[in-house]
Amino acid sequence: MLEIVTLQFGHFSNYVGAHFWNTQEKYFSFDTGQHAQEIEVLHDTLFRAGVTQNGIETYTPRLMIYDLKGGFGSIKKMNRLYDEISDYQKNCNWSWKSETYAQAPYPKNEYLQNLEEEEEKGISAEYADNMDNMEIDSSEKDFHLDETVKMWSDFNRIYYHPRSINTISNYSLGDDSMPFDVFSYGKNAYFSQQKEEDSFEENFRFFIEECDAIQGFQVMTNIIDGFGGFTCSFIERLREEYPKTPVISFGITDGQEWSPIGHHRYFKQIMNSSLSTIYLSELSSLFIPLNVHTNFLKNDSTKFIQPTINLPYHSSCILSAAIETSTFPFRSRRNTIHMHDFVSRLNWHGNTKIGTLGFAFPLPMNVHGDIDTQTLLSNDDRSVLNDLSFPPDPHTSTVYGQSVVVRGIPDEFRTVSGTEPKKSSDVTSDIFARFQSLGSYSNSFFATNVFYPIPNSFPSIFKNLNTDGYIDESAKFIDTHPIHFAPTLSHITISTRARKFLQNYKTELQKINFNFFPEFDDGNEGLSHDDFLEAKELLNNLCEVYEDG
Amino acid sequence: MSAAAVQLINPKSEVARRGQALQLNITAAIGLQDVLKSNLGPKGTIKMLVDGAGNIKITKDGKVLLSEMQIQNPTAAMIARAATAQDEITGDGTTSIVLLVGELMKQSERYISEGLHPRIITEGFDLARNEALEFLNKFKTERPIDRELLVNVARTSLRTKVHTALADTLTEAVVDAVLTIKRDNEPIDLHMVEIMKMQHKTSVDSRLVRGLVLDHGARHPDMPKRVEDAYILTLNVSLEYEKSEINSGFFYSSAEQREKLVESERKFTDEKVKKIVELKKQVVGDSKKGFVVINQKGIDPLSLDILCKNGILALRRAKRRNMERLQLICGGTAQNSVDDLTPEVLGHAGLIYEHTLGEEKYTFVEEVKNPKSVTILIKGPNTHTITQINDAIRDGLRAVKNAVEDNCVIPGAGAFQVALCSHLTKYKDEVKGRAKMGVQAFADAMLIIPKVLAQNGGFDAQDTIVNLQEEYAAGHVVGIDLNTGEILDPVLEGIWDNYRVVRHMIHSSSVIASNFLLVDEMMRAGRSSLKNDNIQS
Repeated sequence: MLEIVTLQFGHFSNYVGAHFWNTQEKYFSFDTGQHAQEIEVLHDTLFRAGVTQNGIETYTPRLMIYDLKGGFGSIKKMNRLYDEISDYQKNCNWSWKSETYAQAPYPKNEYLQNLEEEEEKGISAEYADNMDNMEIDSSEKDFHLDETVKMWSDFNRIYYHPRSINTISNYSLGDDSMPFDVFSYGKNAYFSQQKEEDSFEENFRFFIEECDAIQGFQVMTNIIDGFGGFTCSFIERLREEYPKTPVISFGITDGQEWSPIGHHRYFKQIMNSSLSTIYLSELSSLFIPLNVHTNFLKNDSTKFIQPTINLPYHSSCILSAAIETSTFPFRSRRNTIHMHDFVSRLNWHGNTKIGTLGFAFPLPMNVHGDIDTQTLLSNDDRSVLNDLSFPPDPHTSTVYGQSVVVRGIPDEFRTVSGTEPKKSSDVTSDIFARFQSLGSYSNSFFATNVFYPIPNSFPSIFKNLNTDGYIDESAKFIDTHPIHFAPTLSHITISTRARKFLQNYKTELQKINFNFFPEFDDGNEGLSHDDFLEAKELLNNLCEVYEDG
Repeated sequence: MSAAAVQLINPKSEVARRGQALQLNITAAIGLQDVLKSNLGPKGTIKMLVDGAGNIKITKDGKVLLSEMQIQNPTAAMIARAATAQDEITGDGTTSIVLLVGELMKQSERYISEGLHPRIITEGFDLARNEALEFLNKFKTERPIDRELLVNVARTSLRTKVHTALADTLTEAVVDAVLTIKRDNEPIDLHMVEIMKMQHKTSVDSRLVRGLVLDHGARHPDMPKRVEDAYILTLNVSLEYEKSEINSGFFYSSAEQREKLVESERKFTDEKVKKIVELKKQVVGDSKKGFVVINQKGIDPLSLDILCKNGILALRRAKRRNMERLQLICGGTAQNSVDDLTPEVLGHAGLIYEHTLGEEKYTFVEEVKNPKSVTILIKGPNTHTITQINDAIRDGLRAVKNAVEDNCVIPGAGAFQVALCSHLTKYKDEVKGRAKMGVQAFADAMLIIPKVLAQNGGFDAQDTIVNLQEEYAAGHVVGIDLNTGEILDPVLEGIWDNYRVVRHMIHSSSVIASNFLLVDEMMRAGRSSLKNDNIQS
């Protein structure tokens, strides 16, 4: 078995993660449900089977989640599965006076309450038999998630292993008097966390030790704030133990968080993002920045989705679906691509690690398999492929490597009267030919009939689609009918475009007088002026790597 | 910059001047004092903290409380930070510092309201502090640091953190742990005490293991669960088939070629395993001895299988810090390669066995000769109990280490503070000028410790203080008996504080308090004023 361990750092990244894991859970239900084909997804890649002290069997992600204090909302470290005797007085025959300071319980929204009720029902009734019915019941309901989601825990469907829950306890979420907004704070926080709790050896190692043949690590991390520094220190430590294992890092930014250009905070964010990019790309096998930027959704994809971009709940779902799609080959039963092969096909140079992720969500296709491949690449308004990494760039670029994943192509499409039905290979060869035209040195194409599954925790952003995610012009507005699946296409490229992206950081860093940012030199792990100059030099070198020719 | 100037630049700024600023600081310091007051001493109350998700934390430790509370007031936050720094340096005394700072400010307030300049008070503080530190040197008890004394020191520390019955079970474990790892003429490295936590529904007895407990077990079903009289090989060598750069998809043209590469990689790993097996055959031969491999890197199923077939128990992915400990416990030398394996690199243990609890596996390495590292095994019914015991043990270990390194101890139960107060009151007469009053304020502030101890025990603070002072005047070193409210002899009862903790406490509390007393202006300026002046033009 080829296990993958996932690492999530930061609140927004955890939004992305929560969508990711809800999607994984959705696979479970259609493996056994009405779409009972052969199980296409190797769940054991991302999940582990365990057993609690009370003998309850569990199936939880191989996952480390890091967030600030208060960032876990209603998620308890020892959740119901691991429920323990909490009545401490009974156990310790305490002879002491005690005082209790209880914070008001984090309010659970209607969605979470419903989830709990369903679980109660599920436990009392025969669990397996009722599962499918329940799924349908709740997916019909509207829980007003757009209004009630304040944190990623508010739409999180799954249980995590207690060791997955890791708090950076020196900082609180939304604490303006002590914000976690500096790269160096993150590095310092990592070391104090390791000193206090040693989550690397105690928790992270727990997930690794049981892996027989680990395939690699996938990392989702904030880079605009202190988490970038935290993650860098974590991955540095990880590299000491696993120097060769592939690490794919997604440097995630909620575009809403950017301060207006020129503000003090803006320059802090620039420093955080560029330092994270420099060091994480060095430490990782592949580094993909993700950002829902302002140019996002200015093209034809708006015919089918209409998310409210300033809601993290919405913007994160798109990033999550993109990550889910592009990493699908690692856990597919058929045509599996090993993470190591995946990485070395993209970065065959060895030092071109910064990639861009494009995503068509959904891949616009009707029930007959008709698709306009012209719209998959063009950089204009007619494109349905959104670049989630770099701002648009009209110039042509040299592509070193690319990986295309197409999902939701059934073996055979519905026929148009009087003609042969389209086969999956007809459609995919058209699509791949289109990408072949980019003249990449190395290509990796992957197609599967597994659709991107849409759990009921997903925001309602689709329109003009039928319940299986095919184009249906009759459904004009954001639909009232739930969509269970969507065909998707992801496109990772390593190209000379990275240069422009890095140069942007370079230009902004030039404007910074390091002396005005003493907070970056804070604590043991602080960045000295020389370190800052060195980082700028590293950035220069990085730029040169993506020089044309 | 004057207050008016700040407001001119940023109309949103708020300014508090002189008396007002001082008042704000004093209020904050006393407020923080009130929060922590009830913690102090073995009769302090325990605090249960429940967060929004329902996670429980139980503590009596000032440091833990301060870091759990989200302190918004800047003065209080600064005191808290300084007090927790004390914990980092000495391992204890956080609550006391907060109490002392609050009390120093409170005592000064009286004099300041009568018109005394804060500067004079702090001069007095300086004098008093120096005198106090000198007095401490005279007051300390230098006696042979034997096990009995250390047990007393550990008990004093632990009883203030967990309930008495539990504290007493931990006391000896803590002392023996430090005594085992102590090397002559070397500083004590507490990292050599591994703390292993085990959640267990019924069992609550934590204990000292003279050996190592690892939190993982063998990953092969047929490996032995119990090995006696065994050689131990400590390794940092990957025994798993790793994909190398060359055999990635890009570089080979045919499936056949790929197969070949995979095979040669596999062979490479197998060779390494073989070398271990050979060493085992060499040392064990036909005897009944066991052979155990503990590896920091991974061991894949095929390698495990070979090892298992050869009767070797193998553990993978051991903690990095345990590599060093294993050598100190079992002897032998950790190996970074399997090329030069000789019998000399092997360690030895009399008994290795596995223990399973739910999905958690533990491997005990015990019955070793002259271990230089030990494990304290914490058992508790739930996570918050385990955390609390863990915090207490950490403080207990520090207390014992401090006592050994200080080579002296201070009689506890408030005895030192009572003596110091009376000493400083006498010393005051030698001080010329108004700084006297600062010395008096300092002397009076010291009494907060015995006062709060008494209050927490449910006794009248005034009564107790008067009793103590009278006894002390009669020439006895006395502290409070928290069971009766009467006086006791801390030396006789074995109540000891750490010299360095008390020393540090006196020092930092007076420095912090002085700093706050000298603040005569406070400004809160909105961020908007600082925004555009940071860019190089």
